[in-house]
Amino acid sequence: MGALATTLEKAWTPHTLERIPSLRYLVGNDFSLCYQCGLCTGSCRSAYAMKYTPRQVMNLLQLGRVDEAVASGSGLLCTACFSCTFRCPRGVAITDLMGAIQRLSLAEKHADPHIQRFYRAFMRTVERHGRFHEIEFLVRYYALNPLRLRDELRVGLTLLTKGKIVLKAPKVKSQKGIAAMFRKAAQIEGRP
Amino acid sequence: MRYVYYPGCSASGTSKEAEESLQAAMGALGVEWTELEDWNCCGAAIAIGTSYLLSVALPARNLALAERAESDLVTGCSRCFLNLIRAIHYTHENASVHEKVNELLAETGVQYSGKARLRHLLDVIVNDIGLDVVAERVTQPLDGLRVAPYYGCCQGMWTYAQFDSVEDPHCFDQLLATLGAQVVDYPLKTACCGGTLSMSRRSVGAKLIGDLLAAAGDADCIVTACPLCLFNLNSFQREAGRIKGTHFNIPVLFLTQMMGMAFGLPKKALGLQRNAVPVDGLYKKIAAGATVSSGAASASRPK
Amino acid sequence: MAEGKSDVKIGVYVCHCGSNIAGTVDVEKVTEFAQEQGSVAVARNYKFMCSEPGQALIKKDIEELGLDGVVVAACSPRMHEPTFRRVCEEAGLNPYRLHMCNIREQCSWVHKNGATEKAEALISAAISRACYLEPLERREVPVAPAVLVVGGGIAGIQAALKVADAGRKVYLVEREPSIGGHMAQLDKTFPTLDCSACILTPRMAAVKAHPNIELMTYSEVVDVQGYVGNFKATIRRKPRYVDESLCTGCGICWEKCPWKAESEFDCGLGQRKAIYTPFPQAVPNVPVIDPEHCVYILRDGKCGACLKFCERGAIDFNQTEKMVEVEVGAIIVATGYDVFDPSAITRLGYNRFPNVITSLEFERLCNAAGPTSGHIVVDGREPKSVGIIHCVGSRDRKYHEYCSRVCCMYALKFAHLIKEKIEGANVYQFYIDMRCYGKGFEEFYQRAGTEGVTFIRGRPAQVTDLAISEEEEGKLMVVCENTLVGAVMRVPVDMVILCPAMEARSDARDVARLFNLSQSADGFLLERHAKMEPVATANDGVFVVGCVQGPKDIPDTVAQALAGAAEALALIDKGSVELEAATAVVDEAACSGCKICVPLCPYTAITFNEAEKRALINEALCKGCGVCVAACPAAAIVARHFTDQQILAEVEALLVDARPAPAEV
Repeated sequence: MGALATTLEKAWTPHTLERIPSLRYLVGNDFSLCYQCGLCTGSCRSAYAMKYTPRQVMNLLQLGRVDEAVASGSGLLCTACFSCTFRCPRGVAITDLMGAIQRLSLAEKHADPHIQRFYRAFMRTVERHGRFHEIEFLVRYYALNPLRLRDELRVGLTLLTKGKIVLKAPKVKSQKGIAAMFRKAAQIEGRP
Repeated sequence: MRYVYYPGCSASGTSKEAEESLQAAMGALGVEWTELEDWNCCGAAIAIGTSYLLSVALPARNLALAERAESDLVTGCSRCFLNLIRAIHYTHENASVHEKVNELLAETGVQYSGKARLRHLLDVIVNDIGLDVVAERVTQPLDGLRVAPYYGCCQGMWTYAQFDSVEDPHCFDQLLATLGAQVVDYPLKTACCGGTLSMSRRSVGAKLIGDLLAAAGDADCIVTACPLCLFNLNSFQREAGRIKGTHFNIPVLFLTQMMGMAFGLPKKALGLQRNAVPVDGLYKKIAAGATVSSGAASASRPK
Repeated sequence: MAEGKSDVKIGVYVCHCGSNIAGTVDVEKVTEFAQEQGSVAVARNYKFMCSEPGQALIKKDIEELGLDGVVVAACSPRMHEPTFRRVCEEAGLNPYRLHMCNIREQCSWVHKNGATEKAEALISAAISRACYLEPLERREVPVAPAVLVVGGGIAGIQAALKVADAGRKVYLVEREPSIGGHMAQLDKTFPTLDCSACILTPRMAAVKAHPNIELMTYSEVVDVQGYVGNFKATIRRKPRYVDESLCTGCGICWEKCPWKAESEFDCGLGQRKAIYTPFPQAVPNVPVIDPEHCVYILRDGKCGACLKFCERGAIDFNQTEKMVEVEVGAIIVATGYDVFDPSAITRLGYNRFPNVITSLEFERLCNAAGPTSGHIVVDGREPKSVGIIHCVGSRDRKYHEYCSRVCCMYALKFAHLIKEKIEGANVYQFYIDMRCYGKGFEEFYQRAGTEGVTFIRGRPAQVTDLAISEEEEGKLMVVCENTLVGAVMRVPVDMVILCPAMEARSDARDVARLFNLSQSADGFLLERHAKMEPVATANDGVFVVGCVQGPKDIPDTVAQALAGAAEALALIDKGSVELEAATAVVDEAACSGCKICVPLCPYTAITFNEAEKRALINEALCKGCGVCVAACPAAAIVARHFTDQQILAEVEALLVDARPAPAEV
């Protein structure tokens, strides 16, 4: 932790820590050590669809240009497979940095509304039931946008006919505690 | 042998066949498989998009429960495994993270000390139970079946867990070979399936799935070690085909389904009726293979 | 205020060191403080004490005031202790009556506030100690006028030749059957494109012909005893089963030998016989018989073709290994490097695909005397396109963090050679940075551009044979992000050359232990000072030259080899070496013979005299580290120049005025 603090003090802008508070929790090196070799991007399966590749995102962060990285939507394409982090020759915690950008993209509404809804719907069911609940998720996700339902109809019907959509809500004893975890996390992280 | 098991939301829902076949296969091996009581969702690849602390605390709670039950924890879902091992690693490396996680866990009345031990299903099968025990249980060797072993991404997990090579793992290949199957060389065996991109960014997700399906070549089926990969590879073959300009119709099974088939367990017990792409063709191939090979069904020895 | 000793006259000299000390420490105040201390005859300060005028100040005071001791408050003794000791000597004062007090590295450089107070405390302690310093005499021991060179690559060859040319005897020991090392495996060398064998073999021949060089190939150093100027090395000479004095190198034996094995010299790409010389220009041109592939040895007398055909009767299966002892004054370690095995990086496909090869393997393919007679052919085909991947295992904290220095240049060389040998070939360089720092290097880089080499900046994530389009069928695809364009590329090629890291030999640790050397964090052997002493080591009289010390190219290797030769010659030509006097000594009367100290010594300087039942310290080996002094339960070992009295005087002076702690540091 001490070593990380020193690195952050030397970061290009102190503003970066303000924008990305989870930097203080980073395990591994931060973007300052990235020497732009591109191995992360070469390993990334979804990089081809990104406006800024993972390597470019690291460079933007080095320059303190967090907003551009967030607006690009690259973080939303990260599947958190950790290939980049595993292979990075400088030990940069790329996946978690992309995760941080992903959070900002969602929170600051740079993602398509349906993607926002996807994340929100998923987390709401976990908050309310302690586990993912398909039916409630589907209702939340598609309720406001029935047009998307058309795209999912085939998949949904297959799941239904094969008995893979569980109608009953999961029963987790500590559900209330888990919901409290959500509230506490929001409080600590300064989210509404 | 007894194990406390973390099923994960996929295995009990959209990939129910994974859970069902796991219980059946483990039962056939004489292993007691108890579900972790009061487990919660590990956060999948979604929690990371909302809250860093939740992405560590949600899986950590299950570790805390395992500690309370004084047991190791096994999981058969690669994504869950990754989240759990990430929780172990991060809380271990960063005292701040550990502190904050326990602050959250206090809301549910548990604390995570960091002592919990996590095992992957493949690790348990290959290293604890042992391939020779698996071989003994095989009554219907999968002769004639060409299978592509799909480990899934989650490379981080292999790094931390260190029970196999990260870039070039072999445990799954060995298991399938023990079942008698002919394991094909699958170049994308550790490439990511796209996870939730199949839902949130269909065009990208479908392309990744298409790459994986295409790379299987002329294999008869793909076997996965992750229920989420199972869902993805099964459910989006049509969309993937459209993007790749071809038609996919390749059965995708979970590893314990394949084990159950080789053990001769009933189809329903293995949830085989739930796989999106029907697997009947595979049974025909196995039967044909069995008659081709020298008469009596013989258990394959691990290589 | 330190009391000091009344009958002693100490001179205190405070250095400003420009602004290094004076910028933080009030040197005037400190000088005044020193003057007030007991036993201090004179206290001065000066801008640069180590300079000539500074030294003159000290000399003058010693001569005119008859000083008994000198305290220099300045930088670390590791910098200038020898300087000021010499000053004292020249002025007629025993050099061990000098004490250097560090008020730079340990004071002005690390404190902002309170530095002056701390300097005063340190000087007070130094003065106290100086009062009790005793004169010590350095012993002189003669230097054996011979040099042992370990390793017969270009570094060892060059060092041996230079020492031999100076008229000194050299023992050159090489593990392989022939000298030449890795350089003998190379084709052309950058940036001049000199043929490696053409510039190396004349030197190899010179070694053979030189009357002062005793060449021992197929031999290894197994033990080293002694100390600077007086080393005794034991060399194991492995049995060749061929009599060197009879063999003419006619080659009939290896022509007739029916048994083949993989050629190590050809990196396994070609074969050799069970009786063989590693390459045609081998020195000595005498074969060895490989006991693991020779059927006569393996099957008790079956075969014997070589015996039958050798006209000189030089084959001798009765040979056994011989141990040879040599006495030398200096040792030059030149054992070279290993090439990183890229199998560890599975995603690059080194073990999967036969047409993914390492740079050293490519050198053998390119070499006219290689397994393919200089034709670039892999897997039966001549490649029309080649991808060269830089930094394999280098600049990567998972393997080696360092840069291997030579790969960018030889990669450019490969591009040139490929273009020369294969009409219309495409060459792609996958690099992160182009490191072309040396003489003629940047120009060579430019030349590569004119020859139409394609540079793609991006570290490849994978080499795959999985084709996703028709044009990719049958090829290897290098997958990387082209970082200059910002997009992932798949580049289809027929062959991939990996540039693996240059790493320390696998037995570097054993070599270090054998010669009492240290390894740096990267595994290579450690030089004494990164800038000022590149070939000397912490073990006096032992020098490291060439790639054993770190990755480097041929010109730098030759330069270091010559440097090592100069160091060795300086030692030998002096004829004698002075031993550091601040060593430990056993008070025989007090020694109880408990032997606790003997195994503790990291320099194996303590032996036990069984007859007298007393421990004995070899002054030449002792470095004065003090471990035995501390361990002796009878307090029978004294550390000269660090006696209890001296140390306690220092401590007491430090604590005499319990000064309040400085406000901030």
